Amino acid sequence: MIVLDAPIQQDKIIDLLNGYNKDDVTFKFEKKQGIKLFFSTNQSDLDAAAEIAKKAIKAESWGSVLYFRAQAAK
Amino acid sequence: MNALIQWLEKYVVPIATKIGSIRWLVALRDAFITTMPATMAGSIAVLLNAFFRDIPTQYGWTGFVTAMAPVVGVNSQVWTGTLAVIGLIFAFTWGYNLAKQYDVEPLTGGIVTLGAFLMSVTQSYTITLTKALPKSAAKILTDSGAAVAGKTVTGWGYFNFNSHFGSAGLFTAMIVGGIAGALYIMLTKRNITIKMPDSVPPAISKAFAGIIPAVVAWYVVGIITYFFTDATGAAVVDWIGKTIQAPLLTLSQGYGAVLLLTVLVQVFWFFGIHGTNVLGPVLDSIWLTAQLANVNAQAQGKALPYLWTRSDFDMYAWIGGAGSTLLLLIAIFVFSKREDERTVAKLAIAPGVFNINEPTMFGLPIVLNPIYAIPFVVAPVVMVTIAYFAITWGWVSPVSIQMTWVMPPFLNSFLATSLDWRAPVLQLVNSVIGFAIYAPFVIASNNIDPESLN
Repeated sequence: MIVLDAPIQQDKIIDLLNGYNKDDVTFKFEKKQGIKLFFSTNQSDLDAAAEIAKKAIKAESWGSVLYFRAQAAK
Repeated sequence: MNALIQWLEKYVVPIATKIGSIRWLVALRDAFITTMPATMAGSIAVLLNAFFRDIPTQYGWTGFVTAMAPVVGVNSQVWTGTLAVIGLIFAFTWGYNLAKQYDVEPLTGGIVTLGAFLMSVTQSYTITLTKALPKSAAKILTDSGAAVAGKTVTGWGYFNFNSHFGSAGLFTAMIVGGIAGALYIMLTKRNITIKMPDSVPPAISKAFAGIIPAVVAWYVVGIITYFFTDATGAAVVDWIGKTIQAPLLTLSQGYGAVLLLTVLVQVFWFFGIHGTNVLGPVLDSIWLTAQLANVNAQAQGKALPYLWTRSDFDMYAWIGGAGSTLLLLIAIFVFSKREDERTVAKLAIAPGVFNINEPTMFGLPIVLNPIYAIPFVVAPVVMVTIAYFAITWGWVSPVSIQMTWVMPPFLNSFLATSLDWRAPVLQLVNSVIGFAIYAPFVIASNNIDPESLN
């Protein structure tokens, strides 16, 4: 599981990562807890998966201006 | 809170997104960021020369300064190749990043804007003497490439390195380079290029593809700069410097501009928008230009031209990161009875010393946390006000050395002001005030159930 601390544009983040399928990396939205969005992933390296998620969001025009954090859920 | 988020997403985020996705602004921000190795190397050289030359000279240690002459000379060389020509370096990085934003060959883009910039600066000198030179003296000058006609000595091939290649040339590089870059990109995008067969190696193919757009861009700029100088008698760089760069930088020195920028960045951060990223083009093109002018003035022993520069925000308003969150962490250690906050503070204090505050911003969290909204905005506003007037009234020296933003508080201001001890004292005063502003909110947060924030 990875967690994103993202206060705004949560719906867009969920849509983006739910539909993400690149280089056999996928994410699935699991739950929302305040500003935290939890996603499961098919990757075993959660830090790398969090980095991929962050890059995918930053690559979007609406995501490039966001201030958020992506990391492996503990 | 949900209504506020919806309002933000509807009205504020699209504006921030719009600003953040304007390719020219992104390229401008990235062009300044790309010059960082040069600005840091130059600043280190200026700082070292302060240790080896400027400060010992103030104390009359001439023997030491003489002995250190080779070290000073090496530092001066480094400064000459970096900060002294930062306008020239930026002229390249600007075109490179602009072309990159539009997915056209960036190296050619950099070359185009660099060439355009060089067309905007003076390339010759004219000296009018009070009386004609003796033949022998005139011969020495003509042998060295100058032309002597009566009382006038002219020479071609001499860029005014000192006046045009440093920070004074930055706006010219932006404007003239922007014109050339736009033409290069537009023509390339419209495929007005020489196309080579697929069998030609990519490097050669790309170079050929750039020929027509680059030639057109340079000729347009060449025509503009030639006729402008012919009509006005002034180099384009001097005109832009006087009519655009200087007034804009003067405007940036007002309290209103400094305050507005501080408030905007804080509000953006609080709502989860990358404040310094979105406003980076303004921060860098205005206040970083002012800072580079100061560093170059310091290197040459001149008076510092600007009071408020880019690093002042980091040093006096954003101690430990945006919102001066390092002071909040200290307030938590002193006053907080909440285990969750104390745990985050323990984890966040080490990166906070280096002005990295993501663990604080998202760990507590501060982002969208109504408890800390007020101090998060108010503390930097009060601190920036105190620092602004302390510097304006001459109590603390302006920045004369560029510091990287991860330099810890107190050390950063001491070094950035060429070792003015009053700068860390000002930071200490600001820290105490920032701590006092955060403290009541930390105490208030003791009564809040952490689960209610979720």
